[in-house]
Amino acid sequence: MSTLSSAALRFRYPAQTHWALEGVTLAMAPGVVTWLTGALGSGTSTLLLAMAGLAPRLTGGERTGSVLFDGRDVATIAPLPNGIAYLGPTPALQLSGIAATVRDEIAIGPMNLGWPVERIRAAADDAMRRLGVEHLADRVPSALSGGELQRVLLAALAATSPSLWLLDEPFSALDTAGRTQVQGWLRDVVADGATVVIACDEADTMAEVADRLVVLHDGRVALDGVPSTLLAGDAILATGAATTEAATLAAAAQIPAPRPLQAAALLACAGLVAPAPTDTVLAAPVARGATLLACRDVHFAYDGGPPVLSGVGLDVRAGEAVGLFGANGAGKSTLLRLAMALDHPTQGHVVVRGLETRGRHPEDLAPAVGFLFQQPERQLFSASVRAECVVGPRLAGWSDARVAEAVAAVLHEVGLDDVADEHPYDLPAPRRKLVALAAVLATDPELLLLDEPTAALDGASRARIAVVVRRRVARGRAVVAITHDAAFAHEALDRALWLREGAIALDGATRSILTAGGHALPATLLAALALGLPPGKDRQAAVADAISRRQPR
Amino acid sequence: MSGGLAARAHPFTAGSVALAMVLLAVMVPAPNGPPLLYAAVCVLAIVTGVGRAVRQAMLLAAPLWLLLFLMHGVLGEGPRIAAPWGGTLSASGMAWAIEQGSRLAAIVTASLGFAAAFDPHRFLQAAIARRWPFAAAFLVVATLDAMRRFGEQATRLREAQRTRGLKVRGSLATRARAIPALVFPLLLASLTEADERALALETRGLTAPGRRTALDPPADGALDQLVRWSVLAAVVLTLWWRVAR
Repeated sequence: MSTLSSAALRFRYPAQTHWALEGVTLAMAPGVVTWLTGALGSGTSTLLLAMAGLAPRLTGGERTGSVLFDGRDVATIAPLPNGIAYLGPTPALQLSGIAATVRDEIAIGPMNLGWPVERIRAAADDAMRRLGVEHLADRVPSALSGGELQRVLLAALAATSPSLWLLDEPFSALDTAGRTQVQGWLRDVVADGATVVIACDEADTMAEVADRLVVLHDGRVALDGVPSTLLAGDAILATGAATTEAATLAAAAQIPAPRPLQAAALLACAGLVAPAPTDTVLAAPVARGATLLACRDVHFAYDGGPPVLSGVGLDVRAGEAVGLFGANGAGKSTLLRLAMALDHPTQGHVVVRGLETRGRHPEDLAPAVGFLFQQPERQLFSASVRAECVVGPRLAGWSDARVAEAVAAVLHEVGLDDVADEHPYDLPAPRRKLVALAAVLATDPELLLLDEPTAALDGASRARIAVVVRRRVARGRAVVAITHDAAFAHEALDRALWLREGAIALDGATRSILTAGGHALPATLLAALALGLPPGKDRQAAVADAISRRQPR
Repeated sequence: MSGGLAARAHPFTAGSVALAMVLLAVMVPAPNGPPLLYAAVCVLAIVTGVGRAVRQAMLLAAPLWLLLFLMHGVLGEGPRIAAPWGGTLSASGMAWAIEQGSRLAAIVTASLGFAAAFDPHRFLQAAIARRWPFAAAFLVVATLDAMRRFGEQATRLREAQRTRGLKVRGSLATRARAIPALVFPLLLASLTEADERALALETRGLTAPGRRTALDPPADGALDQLVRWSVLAAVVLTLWWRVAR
């Protein structure tokens, strides 16, 4: 049985004066899923890097204290040959670059360990089956969607049967089916005796698989214990870490600790009866603004490949917030690219603000249309957070005074005032996403296109983005957001579209699309339905208020 | 990567032929050798399915041809010949320009042809099967793959900047103004990518010591071996002939 331990571990990045980790002492037992969480910048990702031996070996910086795996200092051993698997928060960066197909990509690890061919093939096939990616076996790795890639990378690491798993936000791009598959696979891995450490801000997902919860705050261990106990208490709220959506709602409703962690328990606690499930799709609230995005019988395929979109038709009006749902690879990101004129339909028409996109380019649509890429690294180039936000308004020809005012406002709105002069790449990956979002918001676009805006963010940041979206919509802007985050969708988006096999299968009010699409319903929505609150009055604050009024004083 | 003969050949064969063409381009005697070799390289590229390299090489070599023509043909000394448009050109200068231009164009075409047919996976499998040191094989792959990665990075960056409103089309002045906004971030992003690649190499076991397994080494048939021996013979014979003369 392999054990991992750290003692008085301190780490700081190059050119940083403060320690990202400050005296972390932990022991991770085999057969246990340990869940690391904390507010943005608390040090969870850094701790994983240190445990993998990658910090400071690759990152640079300074480490004191120790991290031992099976009695050996991880800084002195290569991860994979010693049974250590590390998955970073951006899986695309971990592709080998030497594999022609997914099957080959998954075989890279065993190949590098010198296993016999038959064993490699068997291990790769087994890993693909366990992670549910057999259907991707002959695809080109670099052409996969974010969620597909996340599972393929997990399979690639699983093929060598590591005894220590260090996973940074492994659920961030997964759809509901993928999430369930990875949760099941994790249980199997732990049952086989592996040690698993996961840094994750998705409390509802992790609460179902974690055996132990470690909450970091400013690089220190703030809480360490059983997840169900810690998530239900008050202490975790003080650290800024996310708890489950039901517990968050319960806290907002002033229900005292220990709070219910799941929607059913919250309903029972509030004396509410869960609504009967329904497949009826309700129409979304009608927006009466001008049509900002229209798709008419849109078809698309990449370079003669299989069709990605097949006859998509939709209208998005000013004052609408629309969610794009669907399984990984359903064509959601492609649809957003067409709306930004990054690609053009092979058939049909995409019209943005009354202008056909065919023959136009992204720069013709900016700054009236803003686009947030799924990987924020794709759109961060400047030397500071502030400079990043200045680029768009400058290109739009705004005056210096107007630029300064807009940038200051957006930095404050997104919560980046304190890091305005830092280099974007010195920030943790989730915070870079906020920087990219701020840069997009700086020009106050009429139409916002957001690809997974809340992926891998902590609860506070997700709530902040929901507020950002609501404010824009209230001002007559339109937002189209791809998301797998049902709680965010319910909080921020009025209308939802469900893409299936390249076509819109469902279109209606977000609350009914979540139900009909098979998403686990967020606790806030369930409570709103139980309370009989109508759409538009079913956000978290209103639901919490309604619940709190039912509580005995 | 193309799907023609060059892509289907054993990677070492494609590499040997490209390397031989480069060496021959340096060695073949003027005045007829270089243009004939350049023509042969173009035909070979088209026949083996990497004809795209011919066009790319022409575009790349065009400024060089122009420079050679101006420097040696127009401004060169010695006996003059009549130019089709009425002026005169240096006879020896034109011969020199054609010779050097052909040599360089052949080198560029052969290199681009090899790059077009290059498949990192097949090359690495072939190298592992031949027990090459893995670090050396990976270095070759990483070097040859660098341009593709750089190109992808440039595409991503260009897209991101255009979504912010950067104009990269239109007049020359507009395009020139866009260059700093594309080039400096591209250089920075490439440096960052190098760091990120290190993470991938480390976590996927690509830097681990020890023997690798060749999963599906490409077939190395008699025809491949015959081609490799033939181009080796051609290079040796040409070298011997040049030295002996």
